[in-house]
Amino acid sequence: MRDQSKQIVNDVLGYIQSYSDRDSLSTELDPEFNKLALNIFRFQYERNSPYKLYCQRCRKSPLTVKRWQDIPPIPFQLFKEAALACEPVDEAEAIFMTSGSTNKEKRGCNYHATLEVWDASMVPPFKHYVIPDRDQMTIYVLSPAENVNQNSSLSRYLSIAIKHFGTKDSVLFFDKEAGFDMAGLAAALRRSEAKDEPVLLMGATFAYVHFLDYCREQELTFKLPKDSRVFDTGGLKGQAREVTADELYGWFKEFFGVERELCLNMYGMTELSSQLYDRTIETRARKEQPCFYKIGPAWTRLQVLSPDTLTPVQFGDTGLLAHYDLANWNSAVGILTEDIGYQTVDGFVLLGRTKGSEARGCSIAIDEMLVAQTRR
Amino acid sequence: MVVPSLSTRCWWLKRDVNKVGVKELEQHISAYYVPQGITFDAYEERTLGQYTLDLPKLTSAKLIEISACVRLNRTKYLCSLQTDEIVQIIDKTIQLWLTPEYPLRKLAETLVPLITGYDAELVRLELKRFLRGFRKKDLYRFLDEEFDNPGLLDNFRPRKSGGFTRAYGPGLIFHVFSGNVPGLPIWSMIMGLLLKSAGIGKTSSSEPLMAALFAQSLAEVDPNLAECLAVLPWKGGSAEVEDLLLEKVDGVIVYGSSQTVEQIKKKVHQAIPVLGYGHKISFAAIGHEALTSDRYQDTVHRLANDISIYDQQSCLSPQVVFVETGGVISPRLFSQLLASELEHYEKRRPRARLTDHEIHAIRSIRNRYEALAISDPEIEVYASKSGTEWTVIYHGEPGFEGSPLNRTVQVYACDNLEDGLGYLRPYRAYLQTVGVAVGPKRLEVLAHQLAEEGVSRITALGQMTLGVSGWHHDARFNLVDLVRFVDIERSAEQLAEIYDPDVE
Amino acid sequence: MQDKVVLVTGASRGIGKAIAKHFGSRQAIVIVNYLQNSKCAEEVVRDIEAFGGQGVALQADVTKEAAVNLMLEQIVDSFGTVDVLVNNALCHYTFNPKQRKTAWELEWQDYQTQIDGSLKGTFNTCKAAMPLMKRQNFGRVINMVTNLIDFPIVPYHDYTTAKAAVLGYSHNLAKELGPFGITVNCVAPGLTYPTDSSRDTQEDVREAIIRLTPLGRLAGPEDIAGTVSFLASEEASFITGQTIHVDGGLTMT
Repeated sequence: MRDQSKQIVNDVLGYIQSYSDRDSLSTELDPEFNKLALNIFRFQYERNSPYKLYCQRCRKSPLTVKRWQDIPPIPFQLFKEAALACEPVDEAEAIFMTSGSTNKEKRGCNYHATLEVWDASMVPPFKHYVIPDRDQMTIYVLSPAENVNQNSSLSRYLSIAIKHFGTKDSVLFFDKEAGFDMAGLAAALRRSEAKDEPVLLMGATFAYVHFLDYCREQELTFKLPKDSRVFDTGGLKGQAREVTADELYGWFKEFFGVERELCLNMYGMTELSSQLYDRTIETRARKEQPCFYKIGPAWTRLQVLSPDTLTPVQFGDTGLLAHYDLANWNSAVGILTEDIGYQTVDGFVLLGRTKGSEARGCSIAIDEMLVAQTRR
Repeated sequence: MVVPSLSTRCWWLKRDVNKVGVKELEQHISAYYVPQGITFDAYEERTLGQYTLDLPKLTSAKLIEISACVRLNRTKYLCSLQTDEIVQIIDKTIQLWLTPEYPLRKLAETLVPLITGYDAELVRLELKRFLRGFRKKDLYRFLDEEFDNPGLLDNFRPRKSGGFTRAYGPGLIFHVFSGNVPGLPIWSMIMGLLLKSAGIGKTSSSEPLMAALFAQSLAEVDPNLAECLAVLPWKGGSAEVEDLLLEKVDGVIVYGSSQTVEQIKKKVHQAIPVLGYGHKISFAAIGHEALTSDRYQDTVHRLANDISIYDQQSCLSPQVVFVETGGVISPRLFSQLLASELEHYEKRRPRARLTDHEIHAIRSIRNRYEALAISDPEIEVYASKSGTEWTVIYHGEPGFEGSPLNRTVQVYACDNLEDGLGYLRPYRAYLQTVGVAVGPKRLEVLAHQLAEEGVSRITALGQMTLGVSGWHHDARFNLVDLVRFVDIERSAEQLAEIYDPDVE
Repeated sequence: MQDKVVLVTGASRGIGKAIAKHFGSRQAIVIVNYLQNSKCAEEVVRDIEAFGGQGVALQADVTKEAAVNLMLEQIVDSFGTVDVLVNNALCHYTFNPKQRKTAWELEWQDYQTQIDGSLKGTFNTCKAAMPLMKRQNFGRVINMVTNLIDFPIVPYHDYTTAKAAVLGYSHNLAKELGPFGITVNCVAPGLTYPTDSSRDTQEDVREAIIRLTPLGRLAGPEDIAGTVSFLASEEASFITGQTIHVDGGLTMT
């Protein structure tokens, strides 16, 4: 790594260590966040030509940008089209890729010159938002972890969770060859019931849908020990089946006996290096009214932008989410998503992915199926 | 804009007060039309500035009552009219609409922009352009285009091969209107009248007014004719309202999405004609001949017009443009000029307000191509600065991808227009209009090639959104596909002669 | 003018300097082009920065195509584009009525020199900036000419002829670039004082001009800068192919 990069990494690590117990709503940190964000912006602008080109097209440069809010958020699609990295990509310690449903589809890559920052950004918030009330838990993992996929940020996330916070009874139920061992998980849940030791289930949202289908088929329900919790991530969009979040949480209660306050959704993206969490467990642990909003660590910020103009909406109005993440020092400090949501004083609400338009008349609008056909 | 004064605006409402239950408040507009004697128990109101649209709440039973009524009125009156007389009545009605002071026209010019969000000036121009296509001469052209002898609609007429033939239109047509292009339902209503069919039209919530106003103006010219029509709003696909109706009609004309067309087709169980005008894609093809230094600005202007009118909501509007190299301006420069022209258009006639979904779709395609443009110099995105008002996506290579509409267009450079043809295949079922700008030598060859790929209408660039009377809508006949031809064969004629008591 | 990228040629001194500083004071990003005097140019940049603006000095002989292209490359690399181009540079010329060449003393080379300085310089920068402006559907070109075209109170043949050529060039450019959203206008200053070029114009001539001027004084560099800035502003977005005389009403066209 070049000296300048080392300096930036040190600055980011310093910030993360100093404020590991704070969150994205800690406005007292704004000046410091702003300073580091602008440094990273300048660094990325100078060191990464696609990034610079995109910023120039948006007419933004370190000369003109004085507030982190003015740093242009990079559309996540750019991760598919260009190598967004300040350090050489062939020296990257890890490359996390988005999942592509077809072979032809390009996959977005986030290059991590060092995983030190990624790991440092992952661990403290996990403790704070997932298991604030315990040191360790028995973790059952439903989705591929690092042993299966080296190029998935979620896989690394799951492995690190076990490494730092899993008891020795923790198990990965997804195997490279055999896939998701649902029978194994069901048996393990039964044993936990008998043992009366709480467990933490972790996996992609749709892994649960499949497992619940299995439970229904096998006529299985569980009464997981007190304090057990369900962690899901990824959301329900883009799957063949329509399942709503409310349905899913209803099933967690019905099939696992886990209350809504002990369920938590983590919001993460390959294109980011930090994760955002539901505040349910955190607030419950403080014996407060459970809060269902989402929040991120102190080295992240959120802007909600009007999809029409890409300028900030009024506080509380709905718009596109743009995440700023200092841990993304090597790629892009700001990311523009296609997720819609709104902010509140206690966090933000994710409403889901934007949908394509339904044409008003008989004129056919862009249609994914047709796009796929032309690419063939 | 000029809003007609209250007294002139609503004179017909006062006249009709007792007839169709219009409320006495002058700013209430009845956005429906039913024959005399039909009344409703309840209305929904839709407020538009100082106006309130009254929309009746409909039940299946009411709809059946109305269908029986229009059918009876048809038998009593419309069946006895000669086609010529019908043409005269329609022409008279259209002439009313072509008078700038005509109160209903003024009302439409005020309300349609409020309902649809389209620019008022654009609506004013396009409505009158559209209606001009239904004058007497156009109606005769329309009839002659489809029937060798339009007299077939009135009487049995001799056939060249002997015997006689007469064409019978459906007794009752169910029209499903779309709301994307204001006034379009009138086309369908006129088709029905020319075939002496009673009609029930279901309006779209995005533009429920024009069909109702047109029926009202028909009533001014010939109340008996208008009695054969009903124009009503209800939520499309609501089974409890429309399923029973579908069993009672003799023909269906559906405008809308492909899904809407399919849904209706599935519900029709008897052997009646169902004409469906579903999703279509249109595009433009610009040859190097149209890009000479004296022509290019006109070419760009024509294209911007086609794109901007009704924000590409009409299936006739181009979503894609093939631009040939070899002119004084390259396809890239062409895209830049098009961008400027769309900006000018936006200043003159701003695009309609969009739904969040529509905005997201434009933002998404922009983001995707802006990302591509970073790594691929052969892709460029030209876009309105402040918001999503217009977008031109330039591709240095031929290809074909639809657009999310609302003044978003894909420009593909090709060395020869023919190079673009290969990309049309996956869209074959959807292709419709091509606006061409090529020299005379190439027109026929290109037209043939386009036809082979599935295109059904080839028109001038700049005229894409204006259908002409007698066109083969989606490659088919319009009237002919709805009628039944009944033959009296020569043998019957000859045999009949034998039974003439006075025969030699 | 917030964050607009403005290139002013010949901006180290005189009118060019005033224009550059004016844009700087309106929060534009100003490229101060100069031929020789880097010290002066850097000073202009410092002045701009003192207003809280952004400036950078770039050397280029605008009469040389390669030099102009190189400069534009540098600008694009740093700022991405050029929004406003002010062609102010000219070949050195002394406005001294006593020493001017008469019609019968002039050689073709005198004209050639001025045409190269004014017209070719303007041509080079316009040609290089055009693709950038076309790409963004926006551009403002402002070319400096002179009121002597309409009212040759002192017949500086070669200088004025070259400026008249710039005027003709500008009109044609306005016609062809208009459809791309680019405006092209001219500013025609009267005698502007004080500048290095006008220093040699004697007091009595200055007085004579003042007596003929309705507004009763000579133009200052800031007067010119204000008009240029207006033509670059949003308020002037529907003005193209025009010339604004900034000479206190001396010429009225």
